[in-house]
Amino acid sequence: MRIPRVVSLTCAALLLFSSPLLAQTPTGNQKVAHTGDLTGVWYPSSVNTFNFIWTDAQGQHLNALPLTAWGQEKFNGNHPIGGEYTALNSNDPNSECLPPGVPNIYTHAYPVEILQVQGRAIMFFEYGHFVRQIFTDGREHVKDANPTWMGDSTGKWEGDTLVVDSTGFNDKTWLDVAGHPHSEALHIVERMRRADHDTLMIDITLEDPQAYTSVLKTQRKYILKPNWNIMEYICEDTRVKFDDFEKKVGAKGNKTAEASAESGSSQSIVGDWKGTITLADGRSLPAAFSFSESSNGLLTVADPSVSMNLQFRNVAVAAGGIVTGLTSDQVNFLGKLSPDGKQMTGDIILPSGTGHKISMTRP
Amino acid sequence: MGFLLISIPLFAHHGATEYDMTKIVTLSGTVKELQFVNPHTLVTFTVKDDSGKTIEWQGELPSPNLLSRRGWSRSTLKPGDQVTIIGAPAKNGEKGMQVKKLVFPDGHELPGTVLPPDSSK
Repeated sequence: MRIPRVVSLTCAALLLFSSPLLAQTPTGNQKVAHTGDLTGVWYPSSVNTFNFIWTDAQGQHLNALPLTAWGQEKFNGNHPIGGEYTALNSNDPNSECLPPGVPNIYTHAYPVEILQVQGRAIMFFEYGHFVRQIFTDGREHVKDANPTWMGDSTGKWEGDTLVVDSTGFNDKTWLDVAGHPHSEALHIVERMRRADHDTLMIDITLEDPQAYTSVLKTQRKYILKPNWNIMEYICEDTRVKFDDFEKKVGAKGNKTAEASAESGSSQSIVGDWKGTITLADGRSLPAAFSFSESSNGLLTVADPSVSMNLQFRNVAVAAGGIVTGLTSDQVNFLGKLSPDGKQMTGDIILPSGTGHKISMTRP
Repeated sequence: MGFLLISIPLFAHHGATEYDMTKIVTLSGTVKELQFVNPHTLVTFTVKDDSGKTIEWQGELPSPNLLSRRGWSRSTLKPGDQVTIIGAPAKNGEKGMQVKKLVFPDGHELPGTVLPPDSSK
């Protein structure tokens, strides 16, 4: 009875080794397309801002996104976290543990592993264990695709850059944490490349004629983590007790905030400022600042190679000239106003503990 | 300027708007419970006020995944442990904070809500 088993195993082995794929590969008859190597576990760089910094197709900063009437109506109905909205009353789909979609998933501070297998690149996100399959075998997009959270992605290599084209998204996600909407017409092109061995850059260009009148661009940076592996992260775990905590610390009152606002006046920095911003990576760039009487401010960097357009809010000047505020992505601004009110220096504190240094004067 | 704090929007579920990032509180606490669960870790601890009265505080931290890559485990804090907890207090005056750092009696520290710098290490 043993012999037939051996024969059947041999037959199975022969079948395996005679598969067209394996038969052709060693002969070299098929030209292997060039592919770059993006494999690895990548973690968001500390220079990423929580909210995307959007530019137009030419790289010019967009203070407000070019919404269509449809887009504006949707945007008006979206209530992102911040100001009067917390996780408890915001309608951000993320707060419901729904999939974030693309590009919103890049705003989550969790790693992504990129795997490259025959005909596919796979993005395996730790956050929610969401997966994007990017088909690199030359196929077209699915025709009349049923819309999905992560979309339908095809990719092709241009040198070492993987160019990913994605459509087929549902309209249930927000583009970003600011609540910018999109429709099912969303079309995203991402150019993914290693700027160096340890750095992954993703240039994102999107169009959605139903929601926006022109193209939007943004960028994300990731750092290689050779010794990391993707861990389990499920959004839904035990939210109950945390919601209680959220209710406690999120309840209105703002005693300390009110106190700090009373201790100084935002009037003293109202108006336009000029100066420089020295980025965490050492680049020093000319910048313009404008603070309004509503204690909000705007910083723009006059360099098209850098996407930086930071909005400040709750800017207050306390005794001693200490200026505090939050940027639009809730990173802190902490500065010092000179006694004559004509010079201000400060730091935008980044997650890494380093920061962008700001020096500005009245023009 | 010695109180520069780092406000990190690590959380998909809420921002850091509840906390006063310009302030810092340092508390000597006794751990009551560590909830090492997604999407947020929550530590409950008690401190004694000036009159000797026991007051309960809670501190939020990032998810277990992020903390475990910074040296935490679910047994980092056990009920009864003494630890110094440093963080940004809730704006509304409630006994809640975003935990920035732990300092243990032997002097070693563990980071809370701070991101690691860009490094492939």
